[in-house]
Amino acid sequence: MKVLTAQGSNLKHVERQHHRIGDLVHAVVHFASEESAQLLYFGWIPKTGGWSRLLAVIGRPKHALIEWHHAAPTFGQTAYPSLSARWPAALWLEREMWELTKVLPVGHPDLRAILHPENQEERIVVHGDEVFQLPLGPVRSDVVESMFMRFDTQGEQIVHMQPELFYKHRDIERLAVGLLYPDGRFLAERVAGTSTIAHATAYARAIEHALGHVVHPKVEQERIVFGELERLYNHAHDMAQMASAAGMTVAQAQLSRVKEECLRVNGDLCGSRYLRNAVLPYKGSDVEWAQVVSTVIRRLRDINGRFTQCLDLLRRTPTFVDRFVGAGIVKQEWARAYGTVGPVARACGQPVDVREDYLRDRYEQQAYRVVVDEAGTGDGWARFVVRAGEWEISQRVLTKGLQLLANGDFMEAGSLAGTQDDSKNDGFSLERTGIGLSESPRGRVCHVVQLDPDGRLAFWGIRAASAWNWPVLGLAVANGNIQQDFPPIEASFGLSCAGVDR
Amino acid sequence: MDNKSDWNELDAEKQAASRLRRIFGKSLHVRHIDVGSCNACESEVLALSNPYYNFHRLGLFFTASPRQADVLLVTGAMTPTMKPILMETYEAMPKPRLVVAAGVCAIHGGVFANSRQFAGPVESVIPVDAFIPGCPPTPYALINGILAAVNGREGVTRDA
Amino acid sequence: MFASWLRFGLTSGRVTTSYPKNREVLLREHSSWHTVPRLDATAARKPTPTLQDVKAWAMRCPTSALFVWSDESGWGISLDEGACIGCNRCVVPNVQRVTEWGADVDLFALDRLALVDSVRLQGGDFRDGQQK
Ligand code: SF4
Ligand code: SF4
Repeated sequence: MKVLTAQGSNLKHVERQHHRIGDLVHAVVHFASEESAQLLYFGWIPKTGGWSRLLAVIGRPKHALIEWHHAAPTFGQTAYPSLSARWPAALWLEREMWELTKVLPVGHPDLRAILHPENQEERIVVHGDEVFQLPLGPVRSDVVESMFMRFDTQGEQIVHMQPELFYKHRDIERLAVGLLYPDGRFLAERVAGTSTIAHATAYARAIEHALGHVVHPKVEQERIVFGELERLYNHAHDMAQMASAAGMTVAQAQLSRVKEECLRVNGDLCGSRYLRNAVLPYKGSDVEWAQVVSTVIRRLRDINGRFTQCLDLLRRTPTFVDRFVGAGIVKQEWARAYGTVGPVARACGQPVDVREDYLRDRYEQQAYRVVVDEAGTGDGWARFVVRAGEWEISQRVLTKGLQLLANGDFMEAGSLAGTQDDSKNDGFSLERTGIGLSESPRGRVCHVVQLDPDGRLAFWGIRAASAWNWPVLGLAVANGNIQQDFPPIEASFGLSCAGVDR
Repeated sequence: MDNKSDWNELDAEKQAASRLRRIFGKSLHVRHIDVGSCNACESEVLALSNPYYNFHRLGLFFTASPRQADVLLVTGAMTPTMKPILMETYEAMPKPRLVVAAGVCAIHGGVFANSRQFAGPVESVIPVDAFIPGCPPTPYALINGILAAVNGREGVTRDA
Repeated sequence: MFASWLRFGLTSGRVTTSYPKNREVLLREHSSWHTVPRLDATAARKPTPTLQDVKAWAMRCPTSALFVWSDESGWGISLDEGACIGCNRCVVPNVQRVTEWGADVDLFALDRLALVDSVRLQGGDFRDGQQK
């Protein structure tokens, strides 16, 4: 076991090599019951000058630790004990790993092909009288992403719901292998377009971690500000979708207006409405903060006024509230077992937030605090409340952060180039491997990269926020909800497919 | 190069609207299909219906079913999985039908052009009437492109 | 409740852009938005960049939207706007630059080839749109 201090924070990275995959799974399962331990990454990773290995990255924010467990398969090993049998968070991951490597996770309940839904055989789960199967998708009404859902209903009651994704699997992880790392960011920005900054930031941090580099605090500060700008328009979008699902036309129009105004702020700030080209590995953006900050803050304040007014009205409208209270309840134990992230988890009373868990030292000067639904009801309404709270916090963080950027004195940390921290490369047996975390509007985004000696990507693993939340949607929809509840529930989850499909 | 019709002229807009009405019967219904995008393009397409762009004022509407659609708005890098679905959707549309490819992914593949899971530009599967570049294209470009696709089909008739 | 919504909806002002109508005004408003660059022959000021320079510079494009061609009378460069993701790599200031951010945020084309623009940088006319 080796302990390495991570760059610029009190977070420690610990590496544990296991002799056999079985030992690894055993060690990892232990964390399933530990309060606040998080499965950040689970998958196969190549090792420079060695066999590919199974890697599990566990985050233990309570102990300020990130644990890297890895183990190589023994010669000719074609099976290992499944992790998801004990920790359901890995269900979809192991399906994907099985399809790619054909190393069997023994004990996995459902090993249908996931990456190629067109080859997938149908699985009938619900049998009985009056059970009716309702397939929905992949081309659904309204402007939405392509995915497929299979409802089993009895009368109006939804008995079971299976989401099937990967209709848009673009194979980004393997496409990137061999790319120079500065080119990888174009793909990172396009993993999920509405989480451009979150993915670009996670990618940049992963690269910097892999190469043992600490960027200048100003660059990190820019990432924080861009990340919050992204959160604003995404939360406005999710709220607008919720309003439209509940049939509130005026609210929907007003909220989508708020979203458009946020996008325009972004566009005027850095040229791209989706904040493309703003976050790069090793570099800051070329925005002249001192000149724009006052305008941006003023515009954000205007936007905030309209948004709060609209939310106040929504809170007092019974037809809206009634659609969400008690709809799509996510139980706390599900949230824990499936490792849900983002507003969905925080609505269950779980303070899962990268900003709080791993980046506290960077966020603490921004008046940031994590928004959790104390009651932990986990219904659609709690998700609404959490998003509303986050909007407020984001506004505060932004005002603070923008002012810091405009007149903050960042020079104490030396030149803008940042500093090199070589200590990491000596210790880790996984060489030039790094992890990058960021909090997207939908939850935790985690990138694991491995670079070869020329700075080309040898491996890239992406775990988007929605990947942890999709399996829970099925459970939340099925238990005690009727068909008409589905649109509000789906809107309140605010999931994206692109990040999961990659 | 780019056919930027001068929409300044109100006449042109009126003409377009009246032609649109003649051919498609009062209004134009748009079916959007995502064949592998990153969600930013969808977000921009959705923006068309917000109060800023309000494309309903031009007689354009989103429709739930391809069977009622006049325009198929395709976004994203086509994956092998979505290819047959795109073709099916296209077949389900009544004639005359227009196809608009929006976003670099749909036109060329963009950053995904070398992916094993990229099945080629939309043009390689179905005929495309208008191309809207940009990653993602702005809502202005989308309105402009859709109107131009209608305008550009001079010879379009009810059974084209 | 209904009355408050009505008031909220009706008093928040009209924001609809009359887009195709006042195009010029709107485009001026959004001059800081970037979608795709355009080739700008005048950006290739004196001294005209060398073929090697421009080739190396065009190589930086992540989607190969830029390509350098040559014929018997000289050489030039093409930009395929249908492949450009607006990554701003080719627009960062340097000597070889022949692109500028385009001011139009409402580009489209009815023909795929209309999205490909070319500029001749050496030989023949300075600018020749037909040459590919
Ligand atoms: S064109 Fe760009 S924004 Fe649109 S789907 Fe493709 S990558 Fe995303
Ligand atoms: S902006 Fe980027 S993608 Fe577009 S032409 Fe320039 S280098 Fe290529």
